[in-house]
Amino acid sequence: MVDDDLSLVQYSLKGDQIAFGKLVEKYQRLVFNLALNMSKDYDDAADITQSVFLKVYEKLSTFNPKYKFFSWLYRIAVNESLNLVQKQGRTEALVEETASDIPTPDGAVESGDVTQGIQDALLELDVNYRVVVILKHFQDLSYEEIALILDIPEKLVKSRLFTARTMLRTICKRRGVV
Amino acid sequence: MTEEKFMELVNKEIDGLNSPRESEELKVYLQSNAEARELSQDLLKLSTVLSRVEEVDPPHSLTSDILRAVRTSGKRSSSESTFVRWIKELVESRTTFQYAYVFSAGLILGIALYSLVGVHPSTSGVADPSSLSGSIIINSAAYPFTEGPGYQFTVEAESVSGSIVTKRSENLAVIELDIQSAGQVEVAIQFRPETLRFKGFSQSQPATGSRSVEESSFRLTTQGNNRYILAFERLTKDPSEVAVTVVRNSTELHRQSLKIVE
Repeated sequence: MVDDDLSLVQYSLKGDQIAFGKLVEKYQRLVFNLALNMSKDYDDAADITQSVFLKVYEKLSTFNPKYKFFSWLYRIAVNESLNLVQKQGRTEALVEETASDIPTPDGAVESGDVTQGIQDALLELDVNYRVVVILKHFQDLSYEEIALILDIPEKLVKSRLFTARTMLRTICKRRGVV
Repeated sequence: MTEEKFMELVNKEIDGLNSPRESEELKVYLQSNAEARELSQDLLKLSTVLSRVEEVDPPHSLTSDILRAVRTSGKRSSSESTFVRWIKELVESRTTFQYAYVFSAGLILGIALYSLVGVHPSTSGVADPSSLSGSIIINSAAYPFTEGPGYQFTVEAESVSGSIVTKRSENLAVIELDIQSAGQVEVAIQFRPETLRFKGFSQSQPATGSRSVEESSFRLTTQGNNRYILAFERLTKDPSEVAVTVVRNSTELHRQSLKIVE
């Protein structure tokens, strides 16, 4: 069996569960980390990942091979993550929850806590800005790919990314992350 | 330098996409603008910090959980969708004569066909149900059916055997036919359209054989083991006569007359 995404999709469409399993194995870590960075909750991230692949499986016949599979997958993953985050109002809740824990610039976060510190800082960003930071910095996608996934013009991606970085800089400074 | 150009060059610088000429252009601008320089430096530093964020391992069981969920979902969605479709056809086919065939191993009929109370007589017709498929989950406990006499038949010389069971509710008659045949046989279920209207059927091996429906009969071809469940709307309280014949190569192997009565 050829293991490129398109072949795996085609085999999956014919009912080959092994092929679909390969797609899951290949992308589950990326989707999980995307979901984790969006939600910051380990269990939620696992739930989102499962939900994403279920949706992928159900909608596989609608996948247009003209596009890259991972772009399509990411789009579903982003939407699932946004749905959950917005449904739970998690952003507001977590900001309130962690407000008293914000360190002063003198008490800078130690290097081992960078991941935690950045994830907390990210949660203060509006989800529309958070997602572009995650896709760019953690998923290493191009502006074009991000535009495709979010279904927005590339110019808007660049603009949001700059704004998001600037906002994140302010938040991280306040939190002592940078 | 415009704000838009600055934004673009800073973004590209952070992402390592600037050409040497663009990097130089940005550098020259930053030398003359302290605020922009500080922002640019901070954003580059932030990018470095972001690159140190580590990926987190997903749960070990995630892949298997996903695949299990996919399998379960596949089964559930196909059965639910067809169930809904079938029920919808049964209940809502008031002006057109529609069929659905559904398959399910080991299912026991007792479906929500009491809801047929509101079904109006429809014009009869002939349809080819072969393009329809699906499965059905039937809750036998929820909808009481009275079981009629059962019949068994065996034609040893032709390696054909089977059983027939009838069930009825106030508005529905059901025929369950189990058949085992080494070779292909044709089975015809004939009924009187004044007393029964065919509404739908299921079969355990959906890919096998052909099926056709006429105003007063349902015909199928089958080979191997298969189970069929046929649902009829009862148009009258009078006894309904049904004949089941099993034919091979134009030779009638078995004929069974059934009567569905109160």
